[in-house]
Amino acid sequence: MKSPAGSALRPTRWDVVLAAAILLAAAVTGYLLYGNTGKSESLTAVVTRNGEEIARIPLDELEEPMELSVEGEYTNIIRAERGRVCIIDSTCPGRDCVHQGWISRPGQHLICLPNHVTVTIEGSSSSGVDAVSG
Amino acid sequence: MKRIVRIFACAAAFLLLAGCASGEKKKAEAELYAMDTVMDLTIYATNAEEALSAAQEEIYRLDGLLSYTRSDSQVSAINRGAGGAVEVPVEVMDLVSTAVAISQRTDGAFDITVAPLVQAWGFYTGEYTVPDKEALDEILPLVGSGLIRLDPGAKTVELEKTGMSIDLGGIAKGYASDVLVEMMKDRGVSSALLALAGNISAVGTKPGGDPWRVAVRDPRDGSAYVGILSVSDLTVATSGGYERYFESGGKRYHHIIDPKTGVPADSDLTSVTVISQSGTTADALSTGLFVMGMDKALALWRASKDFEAVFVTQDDRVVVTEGIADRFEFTGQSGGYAYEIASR
Amino acid sequence: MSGVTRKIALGACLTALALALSWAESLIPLTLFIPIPGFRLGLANIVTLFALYFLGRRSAWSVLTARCLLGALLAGNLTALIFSFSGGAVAMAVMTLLYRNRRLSVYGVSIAGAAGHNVGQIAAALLVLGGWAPLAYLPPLLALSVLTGALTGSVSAALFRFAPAERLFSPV
Repeated sequence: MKSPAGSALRPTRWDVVLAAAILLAAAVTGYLLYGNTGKSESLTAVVTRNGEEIARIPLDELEEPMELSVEGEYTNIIRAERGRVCIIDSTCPGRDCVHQGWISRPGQHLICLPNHVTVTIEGSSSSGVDAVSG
Repeated sequence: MKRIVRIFACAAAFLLLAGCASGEKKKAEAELYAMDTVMDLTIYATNAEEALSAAQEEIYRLDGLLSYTRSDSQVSAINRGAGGAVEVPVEVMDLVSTAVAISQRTDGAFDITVAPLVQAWGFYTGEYTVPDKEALDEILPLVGSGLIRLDPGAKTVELEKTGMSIDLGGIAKGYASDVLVEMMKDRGVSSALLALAGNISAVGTKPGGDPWRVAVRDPRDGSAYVGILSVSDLTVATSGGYERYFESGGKRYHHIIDPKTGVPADSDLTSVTVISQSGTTADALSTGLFVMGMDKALALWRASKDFEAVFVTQDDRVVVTEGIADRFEFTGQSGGYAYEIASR
Repeated sequence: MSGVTRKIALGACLTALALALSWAESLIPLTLFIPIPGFRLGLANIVTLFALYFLGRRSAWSVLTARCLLGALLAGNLTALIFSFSGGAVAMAVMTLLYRNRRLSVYGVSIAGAAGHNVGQIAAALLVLGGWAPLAYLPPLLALSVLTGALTGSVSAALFRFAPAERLFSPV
C-alpha cells in the first residue's frame, strides 16, 4: 500500500481548488438568496376582535391613508397609512389605545382592552424578540 | 438477505425507541382577555394543548377570585365588608399577606389599599378628573397597609375602616404567573412563554435551547425598545406612567398613585422593569420601585437578593443592575439613551 | 484477532468515540459567536474519516449509521435522527467519492464532507420544517464548512500519522 506521508496527509493544490469552489458556491447562493430582496418583507396589519381576525390591511400597498371602523362594545377607528397604523379615535373609556400611537414594525401591537380589539403587524418579530414587557 | 433483515430490524427497534423516549414537542398558543388585560400564552411540550387549557382555566379562576371589578370576587367581598372581618380562602389571605409584606419592604410605596385614591382620579371608569386637595385629604386616612388586619386562625381579612378598599391588580398578574409556572413544571413543560400583559414569565428555554428574549419598551417611543433581556425561568414585569395616563389643563397625570401623597407618583423614573424568580415579587416591586424613585430603589436592591432591575430615567438613562447586565442587550442608543450598570 | 472481529471491535470503539466527540462539541456554545442554529465543529467527522481511510467504506457507513441511531436514542427525539443522518449521509457519500482521489488530501476530503453535511441538513430542514426559510443559512454554512472542514482535516492528518501506514486505503 502507499505510504501515507506526502499523499493523503498533506494539503494539496487541489484541496485549495475545492475550498475555493465551495466558497464560490457560498457567494453565489448568498447573492441569489439575499441580493435581490432589498425591500423589507411586506407589512400587513391584522385586526382581531375577541381573538378572531376581522381584517387584514396590507400597509405596503396603501396609496393613500385609509380608515377602518371597528364596532364592538365601543367603536375604534383604525387609521392605516403606508407602512404604519394607529388607532386614531375611540369611544372606549380611557382611550389608552389612542395614546399608543403609531406602530410600524412586525411584532408590534395596538390594543383596545375594553373593546377586545388588537391590531398586530404581521411578520417574524424584529430582532428575534419573543415578547415585550412594558 | 438475512443480514439485511437483521439490520433493518435493529434500525427499526432503534427508531421506535428513539421516538418513544420523548415525543415531539408541539406548540399551543392562545390569546385571552382576563384580569383587565390581554394575555398571550405559548407552550411547547408534548402535552401542550392540555397544559394550555389547564392554564386558561386557572387564569379565569384566579380572575374570578381576585378581580376588583367583579362583584362576586373575594376581593369585592373584603371591600364590601370593610370595617369588619371577612372570611376568605387561604390562597387569598396568603396573597394579601404577601402584599402587606412588600408594602413594608418598599416603605409604603407599593400598597394595595390605594384603590380609593385610584377611584378618585377616575382610572377605573375612564372618567378622569383631577381631585382637589380636600377630596384627597378625606381619602388619605383610608390608605395604608398597616390598616389591614389578618387573622390566620380565623382565616379572615379585615380592613379597619369603612370606606377602605383593596385592589390586588398590582400583584395579581405576578401571582397568577407564579401559579401558572408551577402548573407548567408539574406537567413537565420545560418551554413556555406566558405573557400576562406586561408581566412575562419565561419557563425554561425556547425549544432550541436558547433563552427567551424579552424586550423592554422605550417609555417615550412605543415602537422602540431600550433593550432585550435573555431570560430562562424568570419573570419580567414592567411598570411605567406611560402605560396609562390622561391629560388635563396641559399636565399629564398617570395611573401610578403615590399612596402617601394621593397624587400620581412624582418619580425620576419613566419605567421600572423587575426581573425575579417570583412573579409576585416582580409585579409588586415594579410598581413600588417606580414610586420610590431611583435612589431608594437602588438602595432596596442592594439590601435584597431576590431581584434585578432595569430602570429608565427621566433624564434618558437606562440603568441596569449588575446581576442581570450580562443578559441585557442595550438597544436604546438610537433613542438617545445612555447606558449604565449599577453595582452593588 | 481475525479481520472481521477486529473491524467490529474497532467499529464499536469508533462509534463510541464519535458519540463522545459529538456530545463534547455540543458543550461549546458556538452559537454565541456564530448565531446559526445547529452550527457545530463536526468533530465526529474525524472518526468517520479515520474509519473511511483505515477500515474501508462499509465500516465507515456502519459507524456513521450506528452513531446516528444511538445519538438520536440518547437525545430522545426523532428529529435529531433525521437531521444528523441526512447530514452524515451526504457527507459520507461525498467523502466516499473523493477519498481515493490522489489529487486530494484528507484536508480536501474533510472540507467536502463538511460542506456535504451542511447541505444534507438544510435539505432535511426544508423537508421537516416546510417553507424556504432554512435556505437562508446555506451561504454562511457553506463558507464556514471550509473552516470547520480544514480544522477537522488537520486534526485527522495529525492523528493518522500514528496509525500503521500499511492500513491506509485498506480494501473495501
